[in-house]
Amino acid sequence: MAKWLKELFEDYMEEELDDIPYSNQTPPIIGCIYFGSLKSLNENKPNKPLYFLIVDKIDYDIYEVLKVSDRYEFAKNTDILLDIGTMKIIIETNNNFYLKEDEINKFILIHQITEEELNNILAFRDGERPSHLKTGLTPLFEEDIRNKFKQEEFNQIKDYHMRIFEILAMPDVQIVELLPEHLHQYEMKYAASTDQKATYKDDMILYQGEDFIELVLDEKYLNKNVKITLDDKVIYEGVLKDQSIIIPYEGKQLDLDSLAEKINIQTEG
Amino acid sequence: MSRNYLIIRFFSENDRKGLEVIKNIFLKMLSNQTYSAVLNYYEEEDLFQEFLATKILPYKEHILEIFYNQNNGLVSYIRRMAKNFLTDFYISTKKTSENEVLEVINNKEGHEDGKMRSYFDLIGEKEDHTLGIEVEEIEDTLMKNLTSNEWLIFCYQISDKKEVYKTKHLTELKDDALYKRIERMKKRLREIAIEYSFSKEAFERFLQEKAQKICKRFEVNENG
Repeated sequence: MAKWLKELFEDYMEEELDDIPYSNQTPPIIGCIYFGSLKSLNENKPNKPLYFLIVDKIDYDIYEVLKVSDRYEFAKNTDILLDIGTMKIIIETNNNFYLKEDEINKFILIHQITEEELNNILAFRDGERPSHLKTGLTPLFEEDIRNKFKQEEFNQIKDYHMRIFEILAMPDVQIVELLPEHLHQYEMKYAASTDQKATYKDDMILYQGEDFIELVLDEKYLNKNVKITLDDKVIYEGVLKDQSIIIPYEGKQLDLDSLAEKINIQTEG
Repeated sequence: MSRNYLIIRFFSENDRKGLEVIKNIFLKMLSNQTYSAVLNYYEEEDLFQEFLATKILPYKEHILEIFYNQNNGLVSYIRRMAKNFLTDFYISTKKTSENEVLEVINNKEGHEDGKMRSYFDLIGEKEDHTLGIEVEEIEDTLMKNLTSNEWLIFCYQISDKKEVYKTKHLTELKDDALYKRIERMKKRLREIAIEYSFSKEAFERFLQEKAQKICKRFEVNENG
């Protein structure tokens, strides 16, 4: 087996695409397989084929994808073999990475798997072994060509796999720092423990916690360019990535109704 | 006119120039040093017709839908499809024994659909065909590469009748020397397994189904 598998591996290492496939209209769809060039992601990379399957949307602009390859001859026991009609492919379940929407847009949607297939793939990745799934075999030693193939497959998308650390480093909530004097005027002179902790206004909820004020905006503002003002002072401007905005504040109970009246939300663009 | 556009014209208007482009892409792939090996078993024109009949024509509308609005990528995709298709045949000639390849080719006419039969057809017939072929490859490879003394140690190592080996074949070998031989044997097996990229599943099946039979010759006594 080794000699001919080595020949195919050499071919795999050297191969490049004839042109650079690109798309200008493909929106990301979970459960779809895309085809394009590694070069589309990074000019400095070789013009090698790159396929991936979108399995999840993990943030407003970031999708988790699994690497896909048409070199099914190197399939391992962690790869699922799939016949998509035009070709046979492998879904590399242990080779995931993360792409932004504008990056995915450069790739061409070539196939959509069924919801059941997607669920099976994700279940397989989580350790289940549905018997009807066809997989590759297990290499005995690290030096096996199939392992070398996997290493190279990972190397191609390593930078995009590592994005998980950037994503994890991103704060979960949007924090807005305000000077204390901006809020002092709303402090209640005589506060009681029964005072209201939240108020509702049109398209937002205002909540006062122990050391913060939370502004929860309506879903319609999500991913939109918004400008939020308090007493004509801009306290937030930009794309709203999360419905929640936190304003750190340690002080007396605030008159939330009055405060809410002075908060204005505008969408831009 | 670009090759991309001509292929689109073949899919949408049956333009023969587009078909020629597809054929050229296919034949160029077939002339590749690696994939040309399949020409020892199959005719160039037969392979192209099979590619056309099984990969291009049934998916004409699907491919057109994918690439209609794209200015680029179709040539690359057809090339990937051709390579993927030829890999199937390439493996069938390498992984399958020569008799089986001939059997597959000869069976072509007898088949209802008249389609050429490939590696994946064999898998379809017998689910674990690839594993079976690999098990045979392991047997052939070990037969070629292990000396009879190495087989003896291999069989001793996997046997549950170790005493039989010790009293019949390894009588003059001290424990220390036996241990060294076992270690050398393991190293040899490892080298072979790495060189031939044998899988765990195939090796396990080889041990279950083949090794016991091969080793029996060391275990039976002269009286049977």
